[in-house]
Amino acid sequence: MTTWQLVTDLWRFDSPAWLIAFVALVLYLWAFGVRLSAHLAAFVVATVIFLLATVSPIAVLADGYLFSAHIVQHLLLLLLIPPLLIASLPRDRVAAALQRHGTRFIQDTFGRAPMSWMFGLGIMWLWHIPPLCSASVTSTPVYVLQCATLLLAGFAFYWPVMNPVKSERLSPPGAIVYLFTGCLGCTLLGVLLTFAPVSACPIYMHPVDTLGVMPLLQQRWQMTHAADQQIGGLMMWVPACMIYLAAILVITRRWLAEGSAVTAGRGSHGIG
Amino acid sequence: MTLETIEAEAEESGFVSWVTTVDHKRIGIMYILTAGLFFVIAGLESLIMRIQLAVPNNDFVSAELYNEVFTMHGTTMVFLVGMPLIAGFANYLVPLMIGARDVAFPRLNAFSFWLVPFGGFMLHFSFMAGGAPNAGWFSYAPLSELPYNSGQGVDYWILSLLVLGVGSIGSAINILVTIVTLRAPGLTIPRLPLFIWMIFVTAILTILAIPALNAAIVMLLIDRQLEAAFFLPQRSGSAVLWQHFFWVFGHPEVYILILPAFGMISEIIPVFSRKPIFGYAFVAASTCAIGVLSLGVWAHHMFSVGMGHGPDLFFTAASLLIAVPTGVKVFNWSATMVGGRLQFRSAMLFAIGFLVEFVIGGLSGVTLAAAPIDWQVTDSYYVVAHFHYVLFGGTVFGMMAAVYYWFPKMSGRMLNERLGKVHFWLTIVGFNMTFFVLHFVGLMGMPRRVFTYPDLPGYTLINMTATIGAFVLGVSILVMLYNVWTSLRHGEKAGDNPWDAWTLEWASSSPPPPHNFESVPPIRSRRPLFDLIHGAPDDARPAAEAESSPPPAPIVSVTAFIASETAFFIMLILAFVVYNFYSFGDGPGPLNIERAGVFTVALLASSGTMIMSERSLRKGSGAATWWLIVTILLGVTFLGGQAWEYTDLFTGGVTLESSLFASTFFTLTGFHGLHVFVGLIILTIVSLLRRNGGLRHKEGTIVKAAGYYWHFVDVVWIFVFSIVYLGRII
Repeated sequence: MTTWQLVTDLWRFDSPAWLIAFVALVLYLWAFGVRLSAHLAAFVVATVIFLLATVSPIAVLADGYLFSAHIVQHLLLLLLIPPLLIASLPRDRVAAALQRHGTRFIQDTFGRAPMSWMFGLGIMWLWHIPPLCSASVTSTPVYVLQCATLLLAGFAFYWPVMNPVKSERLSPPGAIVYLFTGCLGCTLLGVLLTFAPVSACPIYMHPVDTLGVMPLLQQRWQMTHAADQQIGGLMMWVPACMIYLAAILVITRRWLAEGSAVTAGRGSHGIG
Repeated sequence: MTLETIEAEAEESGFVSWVTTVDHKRIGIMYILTAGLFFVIAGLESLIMRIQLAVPNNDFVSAELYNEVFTMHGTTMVFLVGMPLIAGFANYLVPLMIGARDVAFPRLNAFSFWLVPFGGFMLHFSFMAGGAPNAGWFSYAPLSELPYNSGQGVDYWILSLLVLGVGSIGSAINILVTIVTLRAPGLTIPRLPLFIWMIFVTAILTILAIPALNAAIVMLLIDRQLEAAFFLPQRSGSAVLWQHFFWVFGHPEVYILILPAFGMISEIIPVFSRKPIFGYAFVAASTCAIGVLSLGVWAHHMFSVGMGHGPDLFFTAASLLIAVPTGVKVFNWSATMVGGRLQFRSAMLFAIGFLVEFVIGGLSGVTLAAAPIDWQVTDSYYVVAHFHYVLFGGTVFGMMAAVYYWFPKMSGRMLNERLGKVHFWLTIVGFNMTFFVLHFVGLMGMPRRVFTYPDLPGYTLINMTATIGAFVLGVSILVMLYNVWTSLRHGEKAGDNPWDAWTLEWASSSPPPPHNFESVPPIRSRRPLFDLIHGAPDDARPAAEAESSPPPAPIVSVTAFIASETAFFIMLILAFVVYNFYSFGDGPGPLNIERAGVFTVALLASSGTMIMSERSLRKGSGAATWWLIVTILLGVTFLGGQAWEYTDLFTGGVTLESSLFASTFFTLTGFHGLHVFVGLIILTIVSLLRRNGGLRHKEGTIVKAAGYYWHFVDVVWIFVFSIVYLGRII
């Protein structure tokens, strides 16, 4: 097998993830109408990333072959899809809906920043306890549970920063501290994985090669379990932090633009 | 601090009044003078090195003395020149620029300052106590360990750095709280001068980075004095861990040293270009980004350690990336000058010099970020040239610009422009002559930190050039000192605002009165003094009614302090994890989990009683004191349990030096116990003050702040217990 074949052939066309993505898209269009907008674009991108994470070669490699692919999958589900989903919600309509009695629980559940922070980081750390990590590869229910909790934790983590109801959002300095500490938590996990001389996810030590990928990985890519784990840790450490960083940059820029001389008037205070 | 005491103090001007002062302006000036003194000392040390290196096979100083001199030069320049100079300018300028009367905690300010001369003299006393530190400014283990370094120099180095570190954190928390809580009405954060932004990010970095150094040097001290083996490979310790810990601090430290200079340049260039800064939002936001990033990319200092291809690749990429926002800022400053009416005063010349020299240092930094190049030139004079372009070409040029710019405010007199220009051109010539040529000798392979070199082709010419350049640089400093000396007495009177600048410090007299402002002008934009003359933009209004009141100072300061302590404990916990979970050499320690569990419950319960105390205080019920006493008793119970555990371990033969498990266990739980003890002292003081009615109206916030600290200590224990006790069962 060549790298090209790996990219083209290893797609899971029988995965229920396709159905989930399709149903989600239909529901979205049904709820918010078919109108070309940035919101719809965000939703489509989120759907595509979801498919990348669950049916593409990344998912196949994550299924017992490469720890680093597992981490990529993890990051897509936890850090990229949830903010895109929140961004895809048309703000006014969702804000109105959230004030209603029946949906009020969403604000109550996700609106508390310290809880959301702990949930977001906690789930990320939890799935890296070695036995749990291995179980997510060997058992399908655990794998599904992992994907679901990662999405949910990501949603909870971003909600206080991106809440469609603007008044319920964290203040800009608060949001910066929130994301900054999130980034530190992520870095810390990445550092531990990168430099761990013991296996962080033992299932990847001896892959059962049903697809015939191993020769490519071991000979062409020169991938060892140690190098694989290191790359996984580094994905968590460096690119993951860039996502938080990008969010911090956007918030700071917006805050400074709002507060500049011409449109002055909005008060602000220090770190919350 | 009441107005009367400040005024009364200002009447005095003798020696004692300076020693006892708590006025931020006097403390700022004392910081700057102390930094100046150590700058001269460290500068003389560099001249000793350059004389020694002027010719090959020289024996002007011995190899041993040379090691001491380069170690002291680096340590002094970073901790006794760079940091105090920044603290000095921040102290003097932050309250003035935000329209405040003083910093948030004037007494803490004086305390932080006095730690600097104390730490500095202790460090230099080592010369008389049998030898100065000689393991380089980053004291790599195992060279700095007892078997290889049996003198007391490194111990002096550790203790002085601890003292200086405490001072730096105290000063950083003070500045941070000042900026958050004491801004004049209308001065919202998006309107802050860029200097304040940079100082703000610097303060945060200081608060988070210094603890990493503290954790590392405390462990080194335990190795050296109590015979543990954290960093001794022959006893299963990890010398590489020292490098990680040091650079977790060391990389942000670079930004701590350069960001304030960015801030100074961002004030000076617009004023002498008669234009507002180009891209304010970008400069501010990218500084935040760099601040975050700098805490995570330390590993690029360790390419030659052998971390593996993965880390090399990722950190090359991340380090190249961090250069982008900094590079764009150079365009911000340049674009500010484009189309402006430039005034080439000495301050502006140094600011432009900064741009040129810093770009050279930045570019060589980009080359060093590529791991393969780094392998070739690391520990050569190429690296020496690179970081001197950043720290001298960047930081020192920025500081020089700041001296020329703010001297009139501090002294009431102008510095002599003609001497200033002589100083500038001598600096440019001397600096480039010294350091530009070092790039070449570094690429030729001359290693740094070696006391002499053989007579190889090209070496002598380049080294002699560098030595002559160093002396030119020395002369330029003399010119500046002479300029300061004469201008203080005969300089032209400055007036309030000699540069027609726009920020608040120029609204006060020069030098400002002890209370800083008779009245703070209205603030409706980023340039309040510009608005005074030209009128504010039409739709700008004072933000008074919309403004929410800032959080109380005790809460902000305790939060910042907890952040700093968290960083410290994260390092200790990481050390525990590395030594106990990364290798299983020692086997599980003889810990009594059930007993520890019982005392854990006591400690956690004390958080509950603390909350009860705060709650009854809010209701105004008298039970608050009783809840406080119960909290203290529960804390004492926990400490008793820890003492019991320690006694058992000691009688079982488990002591600090017996294994890496024991070293990490006693260090981690010992420091936690110390924090519980400090928490108990705080709670006792709070209860006593409450009984005597000493807290008055601030009672609520102070008990709340003490509660924050107490809860923090408990949360740390939850992690310690899970990892140290429960983690060993898994």
